[in-house]
Amino acid sequence: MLELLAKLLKVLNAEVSPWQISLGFVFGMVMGLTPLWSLNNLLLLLLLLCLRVNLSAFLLSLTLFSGIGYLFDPLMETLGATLLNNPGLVELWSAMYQSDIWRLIHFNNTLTLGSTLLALGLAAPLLLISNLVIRKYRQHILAWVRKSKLMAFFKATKFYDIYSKLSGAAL
Amino acid sequence: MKQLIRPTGIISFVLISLLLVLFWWLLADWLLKQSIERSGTALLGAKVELASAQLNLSPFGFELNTLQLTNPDKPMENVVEIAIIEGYLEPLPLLMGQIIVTELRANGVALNTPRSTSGLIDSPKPSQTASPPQEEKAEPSFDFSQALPSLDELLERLPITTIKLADAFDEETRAAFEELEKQFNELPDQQQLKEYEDRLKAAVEGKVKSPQDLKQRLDDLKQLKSELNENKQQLKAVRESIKTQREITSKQWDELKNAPASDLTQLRDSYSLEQDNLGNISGLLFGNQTQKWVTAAQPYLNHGQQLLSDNGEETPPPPPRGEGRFVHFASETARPDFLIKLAQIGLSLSIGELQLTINDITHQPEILNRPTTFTLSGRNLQNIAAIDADGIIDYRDRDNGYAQVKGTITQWQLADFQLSGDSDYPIIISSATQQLEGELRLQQDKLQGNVNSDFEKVLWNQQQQQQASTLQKLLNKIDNFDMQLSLEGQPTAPQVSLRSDLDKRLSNAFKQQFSEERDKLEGKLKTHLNKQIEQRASKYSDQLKLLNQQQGSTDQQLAKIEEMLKSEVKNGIDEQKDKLENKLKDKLKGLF
Repeated sequence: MLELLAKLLKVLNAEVSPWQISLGFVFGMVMGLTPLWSLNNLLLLLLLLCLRVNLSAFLLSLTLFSGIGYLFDPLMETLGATLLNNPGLVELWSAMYQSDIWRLIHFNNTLTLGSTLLALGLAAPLLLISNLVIRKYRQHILAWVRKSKLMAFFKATKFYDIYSKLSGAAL
Repeated sequence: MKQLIRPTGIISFVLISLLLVLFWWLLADWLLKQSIERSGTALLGAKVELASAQLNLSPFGFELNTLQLTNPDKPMENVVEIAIIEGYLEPLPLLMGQIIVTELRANGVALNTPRSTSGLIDSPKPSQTASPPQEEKAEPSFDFSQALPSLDELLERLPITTIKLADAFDEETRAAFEELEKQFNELPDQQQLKEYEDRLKAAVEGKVKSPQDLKQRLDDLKQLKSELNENKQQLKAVRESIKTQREITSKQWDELKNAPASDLTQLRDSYSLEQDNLGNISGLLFGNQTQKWVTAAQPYLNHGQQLLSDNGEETPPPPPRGEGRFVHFASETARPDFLIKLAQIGLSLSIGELQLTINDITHQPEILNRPTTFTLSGRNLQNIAAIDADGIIDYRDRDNGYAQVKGTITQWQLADFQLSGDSDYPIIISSATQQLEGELRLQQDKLQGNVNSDFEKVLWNQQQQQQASTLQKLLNKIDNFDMQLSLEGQPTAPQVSLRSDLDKRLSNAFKQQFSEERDKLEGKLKTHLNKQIEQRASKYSDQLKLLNQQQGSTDQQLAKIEEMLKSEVKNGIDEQKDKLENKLKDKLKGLF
């Protein structure tokens, strides 16, 4: 975990594009909230590996949102169940149900549907917000942090040793 | 664009995918074993153990070896042990979250096998739907010997007229004869009669000395006549009393002589066997044992009902975290989440090998639109020629779902078969051949079942027979009978009724036996009553003789007195009157 945080700090402080980091966050969020062992996530993994997305941000986001997903599991399950049992949507679901492809991605699973819709709904805001936060961090906070007393204290910790080894440079 | 695409991405994806598949494949067997053991243990409440599990790619399926399901109530015993389970799966539905087993074969299925280690789990067993403790039912006793009383009991219970009349006869004749004796003693005896004769002689014989003497003789004769008349009335009264008493005694005696006949009729009326009284002998005899069989089957009935009720739950429990629930929609290719299309199970029981075939096992029959069906068959089993059963579990319409099973057992050779658990009258069949057919239906928490069985070539337990109870003697005459068991009501407490042609046959045999016993009792009663009459017959004869003697004596006395009154006294008085007249005439002549 410490290594992962160190990697994130390295990424944030490095010259990696904020969009790559943000996209890593979003991919991690989607995979973390939705059931892990599914065809959807396999496709997401393919995208993750084929696109230049920051993997450290993805892994950190995956870890974080897996915990959040576990906490909100019943809520997402209820959301999916409500939608699947909505009489107004039955026609849509029935049409999708006739296709094996849709069924392969478990659209008719209450948790898969609820969590996927929630994750997709959060994807765009998270992408934009995280991108903005990273830019602001690099512009204003990074220089201030480097000079702060807190950083002096931080440099004396084991975590800083790990970070130094990974980045090959000091803050 | 080049900055967006990672050229090594696809290779990495393939490598990661292969690693995942390899990882899964290496751990698949272990994961499968763990999954079955954990979920099975959680469901059963006792250890479920598997020696090994193996996943196969071609054909896609699995193999499980030595699956043991511990009996939660007996930790050192397996409720089921299965040597090998082979299953074949459809791969595509697995990716859709559905487990479709095209064929499942289970061989070496044995029940109630011993365990080498305890199958108890540490966590407390979830409280099953334990049926409330059943109250100990008092076992009905069936004692034929109590149907008839002993002679002494009979004399106490029944108002025996003969005894009453005999006692009354004794009492009344004693009082009457005492009164007669008293009257008889007041009559003039022989000495008194002799005195009357002497007085008569003195009055009429000898020479009259004077007119005064003559007058005196006349007065004596009148006095004697008066006394004789008085005695005559006495004798007549006594004679009338004797006559009346003779009539009363004779009438009482006639009533007493006829009383035993009415008493015996009363005995027959009081101790007769009506058909209604013997309506359900078999239920009385075998009810306990039948109840034990039903009680033994009750956990299975309850479990079955529970499983079927669970299927119909309106609000299912929330799914485990991270899994969700699949919602199905109308489709021509719709499949349930779990389906075993065909299961072939070889049961290794103590009686031999049975083959159980089950089609379409699923918890979502409404999606499959087919009921679960099963057949059970076995041939040349130990002591059984054949077992055949087939059943259906149809819960497509959950509101009217039902489970039904029909079965037959052909030529079941029974040995030391306990038919009645009655503590006083344990009935054991030493040997018999039984044909059995039955049907059981469970619908909407209502159980309905019938089991018909024919017992042939029945030999009853000789040891029991030596006790020589009435019932065992009766049963010994019966070498075949049938029995119908009916179940109806809630599966947790079904109403059990039992019918058998033993009812009629035992009734007839029991009636015959009862009649014989009653005839014996009747004979004893007759002897007893006749003895009572005989004892009084001699007394009656003596009394009659005495009455006759008394009457004879009275008649003699009366005749004598009448004779004295009619001739001697009257003549004496006339003679004395004549003499007196003559004397008066003589004296008057002397004057004139």
